[in-house]
Amino acid sequence: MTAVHADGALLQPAEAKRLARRLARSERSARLSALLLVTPLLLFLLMVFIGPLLMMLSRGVRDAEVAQALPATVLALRNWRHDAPIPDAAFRALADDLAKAHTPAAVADAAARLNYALPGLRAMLMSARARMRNLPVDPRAFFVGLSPRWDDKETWSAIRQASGPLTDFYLLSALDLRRSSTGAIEAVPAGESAFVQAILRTFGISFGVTALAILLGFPFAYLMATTGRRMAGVMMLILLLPFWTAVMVRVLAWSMLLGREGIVNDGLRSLGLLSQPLDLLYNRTAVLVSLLHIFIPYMVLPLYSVMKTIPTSQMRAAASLGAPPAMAFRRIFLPQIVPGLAAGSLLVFIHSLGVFVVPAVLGGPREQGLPVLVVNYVTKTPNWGLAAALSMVLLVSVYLLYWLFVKLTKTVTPSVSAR
Amino acid sequence: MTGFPPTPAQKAGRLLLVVFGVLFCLFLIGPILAFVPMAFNDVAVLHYPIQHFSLRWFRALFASSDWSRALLNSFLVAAGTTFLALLIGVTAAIGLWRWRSAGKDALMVLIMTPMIVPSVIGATSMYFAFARVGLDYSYVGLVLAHCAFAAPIVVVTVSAALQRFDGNLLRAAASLGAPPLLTFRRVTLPLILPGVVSGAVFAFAISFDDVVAALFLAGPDQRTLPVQMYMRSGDLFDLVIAAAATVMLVIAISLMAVLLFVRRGDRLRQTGAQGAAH
Amino acid sequence: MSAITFGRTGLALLAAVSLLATVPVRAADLAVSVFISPIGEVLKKDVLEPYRKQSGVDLRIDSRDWGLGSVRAKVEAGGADWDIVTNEETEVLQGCDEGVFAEIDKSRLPGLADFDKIGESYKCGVPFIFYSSVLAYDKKKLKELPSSWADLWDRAKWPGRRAMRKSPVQTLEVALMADGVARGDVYKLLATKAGVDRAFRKLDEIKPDIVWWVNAGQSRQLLASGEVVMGMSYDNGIAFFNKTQGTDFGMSRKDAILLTDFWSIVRGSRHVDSAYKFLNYAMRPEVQAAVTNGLAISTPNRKAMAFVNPDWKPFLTPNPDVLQDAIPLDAEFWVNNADELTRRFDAWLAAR
Repeated sequence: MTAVHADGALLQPAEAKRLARRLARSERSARLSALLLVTPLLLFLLMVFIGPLLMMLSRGVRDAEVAQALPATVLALRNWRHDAPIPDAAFRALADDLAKAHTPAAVADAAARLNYALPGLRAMLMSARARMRNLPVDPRAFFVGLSPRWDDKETWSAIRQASGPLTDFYLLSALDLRRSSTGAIEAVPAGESAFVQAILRTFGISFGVTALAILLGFPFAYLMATTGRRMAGVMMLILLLPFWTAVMVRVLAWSMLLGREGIVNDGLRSLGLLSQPLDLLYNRTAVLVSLLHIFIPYMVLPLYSVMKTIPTSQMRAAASLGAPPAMAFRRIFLPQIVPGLAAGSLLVFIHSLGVFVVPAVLGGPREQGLPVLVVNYVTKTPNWGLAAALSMVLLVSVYLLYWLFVKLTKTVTPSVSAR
Repeated sequence: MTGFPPTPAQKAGRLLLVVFGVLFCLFLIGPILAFVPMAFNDVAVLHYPIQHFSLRWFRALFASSDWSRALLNSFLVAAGTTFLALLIGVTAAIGLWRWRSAGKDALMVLIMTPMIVPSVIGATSMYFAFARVGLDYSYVGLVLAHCAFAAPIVVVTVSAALQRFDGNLLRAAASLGAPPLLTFRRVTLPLILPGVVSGAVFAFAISFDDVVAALFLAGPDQRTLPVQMYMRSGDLFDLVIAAAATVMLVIAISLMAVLLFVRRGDRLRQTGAQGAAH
Repeated sequence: MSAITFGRTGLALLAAVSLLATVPVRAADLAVSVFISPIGEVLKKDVLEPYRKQSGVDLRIDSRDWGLGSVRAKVEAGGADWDIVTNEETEVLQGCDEGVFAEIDKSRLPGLADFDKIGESYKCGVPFIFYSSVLAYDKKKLKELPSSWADLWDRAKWPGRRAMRKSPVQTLEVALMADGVARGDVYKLLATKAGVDRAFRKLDEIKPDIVWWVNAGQSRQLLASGEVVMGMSYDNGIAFFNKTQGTDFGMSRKDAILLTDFWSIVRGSRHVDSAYKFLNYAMRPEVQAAVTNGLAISTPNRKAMAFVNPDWKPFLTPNPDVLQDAIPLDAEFWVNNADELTRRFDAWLAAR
C-alpha cells in the first residue's frame, strides 16, 4: 500500500506505516461499532423470531412422546422385525411401562401421537393403562383380551415407528404419504388425506392472483406513468389508501359487498342484469377479488417506477422510424419493464401464499390453503408435528421464490418502498 | 415538443384506458368507503340502503367494554411496538450503513426473515415459544411479536434515508469535538428523520393491522381491534363492527397523511439542496 | 420532536405497557375460567359476579378459547391457576382420561338430586346447560317449511345453498339421519367404515351447495342475510335472536342432536373446598334459571323451571326425560375417532 499526499508527494516510509496503522485501528473500531449497533436487532430477532421458528419447525421431525412414556417398550421393540412374531418381551415391557404410569396424563401425549399413525390406538392404550392395577401374569393374554388389535403386527409396528428420536412421519403425512408396517413408503389411500391437493390449491390461488394483478395492474401503471403529474399523484393516493387500510377492514367490506343481498347483487339486479342473485361469497371469486384488492399495490408500484424511467421519446423515435405501435411496444417498451414485472409478480405471489384471514373469512373449503391448515392443526385439531411439517412445505416454497426475487431484482427487501 | 398527431385508433385506445382507470379506482376505494355509511346507519342488519342517520354504533363502540378495550389495546400495543422497533431498527440501520466487512447481504437476508416467513408460521412459532416462558397472553409478548414483524421495515426505511446521508458530516462534527451521541441527535437524526418517521408509521400500521399474531398471543385482556373484528365477523347483526372499521379507516388516513407530509418536506429539502449545489 | 423528548415519551410508553403486563395475579380464593362466547358472558354476569358479591369470596374470573389445550398447558406448567373451567362433552371426557380434570365427588353436591339424568355418566363434570343442534330456517324467506334433515337434502323443493357446521362432529350424524338411519343406530353405524362411507356419500349429494360455518353466530348471519335457505344451527340461539333481533327464524327439532356443557374442577386445584361451595351455588334453581333467562338455553335442574321467563319456555330444548326426538352426542365415540374422521373430513372438503 502506497500512501500519497494530496499534493502527490510520497510520504516517508515510517510516517506511512504509522498512518496505515492508525487507519487500520480506526477501521477496526468502525467495524466494531457497526457490529455493536447491529447486535441488538440481531439478538432480538434470534430470540424472538428465528429461534422460535426453528424450534417450531423441529417439531415436524422430532418424535419424543412415545420413547418418553413407554421406554421399556421401545427398547423391547428395537430389534423386532415385522416378519417375526410379536415378542412376549414387548407385551411385558408395555405392561411395565403402563404400570409405572400412575396418571393417565403420563401416557396421554404418547397415546395422542400413536393415534395419528393408527386410529384407535389412543383408546386402546388409555384403557389398558386404566386396567393395569398390578402386573398381569400373562401380559399377552391381558392385552389381547382387552382388544384383539393388540395381536396385530400393525399395532406394534406403529409403536416401533414412533419410537424416535427423529421421524419422517409428519413430513410424509404432509405429502399424503406414509410408511407401511414393513417400513416402505406408500401413498395414503385416496380420500383419506388431501394435503397435496391443498398445496397445489395454495399455489393455484396465488398464481391466479398474480395473473389478475398483471392483467389489471399493467394498464393502471401505464396510465399512471403516461398521465399528467397531478393526475398520477391522485391515482397514487387512491392506490395507497387501501394499502394503508387494515386487511380486516377490507375483508369485511368485501363480505358485505359480495353477499346475496349485498351491493353488487342489488346493483346488478336493479340494472336488470340479473333475475336471481349470484352466490359470490365463500368461493373462489370472493377470495381472488379480495386478494387482488390487497396485493395490487405490490404489482403497480414496481411497474410504475420502471415505466417512469422510459422516456416517451424512445417510443416516438420508434414510430418515426416506421415501427407500428404494437411492434414498438413489444420491442422497446416491454423489454425495459421486465425487471418491474418480475419484482411485482414475485411479491404478489409470495405474499398470496401466506394469507390466512382472507380465505378463512371469505373462502369456501376449496380455498383453504396451507396457512389455514397450519392454524387448524395448531388449534382446532391439535397435531403440532403435522402443523410444523406443513409449515416447512410452505416455507421452502416461499424461500425458493424469494431466492428468485433476490437473483432477479438484486435487492433483498421483499416489499415495496412506496416511495 | 410535439409528437405525431395520434391516430383515431390511438385516441380510442387512450379513452378505453382512461375508462379502465376510472373503474379500477372505483374498485380500489369503493369497498373501503362503502363501510362508512353503514356505520351511521340506524338499522341493525348489515346491508344497504341506509335507513336513518345515527351515531348509535359509535356510542356502542365506546360503551362496550370489549370494543373500547380492544381499541385501547390496539393503540397501546402499536405504540409499544413502534418505540421498540425504532430503538433497535434505527440503531441497526446505522450499524449496517457503517458496515464495511463482508456479509452485509447475508445479514440483510437474516434481518428480512420476519418479512418473508408467512405470518401464520411466525405467529405459531412465537406462540409455542412464548407460552413456554409465560409470555403468551401478555402485552409484552404481543409487543415483542409485533416488533419482530415491524423492526425489519424500520431498517429498510432508515437505510434508504441513510443512503442519501453524507458521511463527511459526521467526520466534520467529530473534528469539531462533538461527542457521538450529540452528533447523532443534532446531525444524523434531523437528516434521516423522514426515514425514521416512515419507519415509525410502517411499524405502527403493521401492529395495528395484525390479526394473526394477536390471535395467538393475545389473551382476552389483550385482544386488539382487528382480532375483535375477526371474532365478530360472523355476527354482523351488530354494526359496531362497521363503526370500528370506520375508526380504523380514519387511522389509516392519518398515517398516510403523516407519511405524505414527511415525504413532501423531504422532497423539498432534496430539491433545495440540489438547487444550492447548482 | 427532538430525540430526547421522543426517547422520554417512548420510555414512558414502554413503562406503561410493561406495567399493564405485570399487574400481579392475585392469589385469589377461587379462579373460574369460562368460554369466550355469549354463554361465557352470561355466566360472568348472572353466576360469577353475583356469587362474588354474595359470598365475599375473592373470585378471579377468566376466560379461555380453544378446547382442552389451554387448560392442559396450565396443568402441565405445574400450577393450575384455574380451579374451575367450563367444558363441552368431549373435553370433559378427554380431560378426565388425561388427568386434566379431577373426578367430581357427587356426594358433595346434594343439589344433583334435582337434575335430569343428562350428562350423568360424566365423571369429571357437572352439567349446567344443554341445547341442541337443529334444522333452522328463516320463515320470512320460505313458502313451505322444512321439517326434517332429509329436507336439508331436498334441492328440488328448496333450491339454494345450505349452512352446515364445518366439522365431522354432528355433520356425519345428520347425514346418516337424512339418509334414513334411525336415531338409535347412528353411532353403531358410524363405528363401521361402511357407515362413515355412507355418511360421506350422502354429503356428496349436496356438497356444492353447502356453506360451512365455524361458530354459531355465523349460522344465524347466513340465514338472516339470505346466503342460505336453511341449515344446521343451535336451538337456543334461534330463539334468542328472534327475540332480540326481530328475526323470524323457525326450526325443526326432529332428530336434533343434544349437547351439554359442564363445569369441571381442574386437577391439582388448591381450592377444592371452595370449588365445591361454588358448584353448589351455581346449581341452585334460581341461579340456573338466571342462565336460562339470559340466553334462552335449557337447564338440567328441574326445579329451575319455576323461575324461568315464560316467554322462553316454548323455545327451550324439551326436557330430555320426555324428549323423544333427539339423540345425545356420543362424546366417547368422538374422543376416539375425531383424529381420523377430521382428517378424512378435511380431505373430503378439499376434494372436488
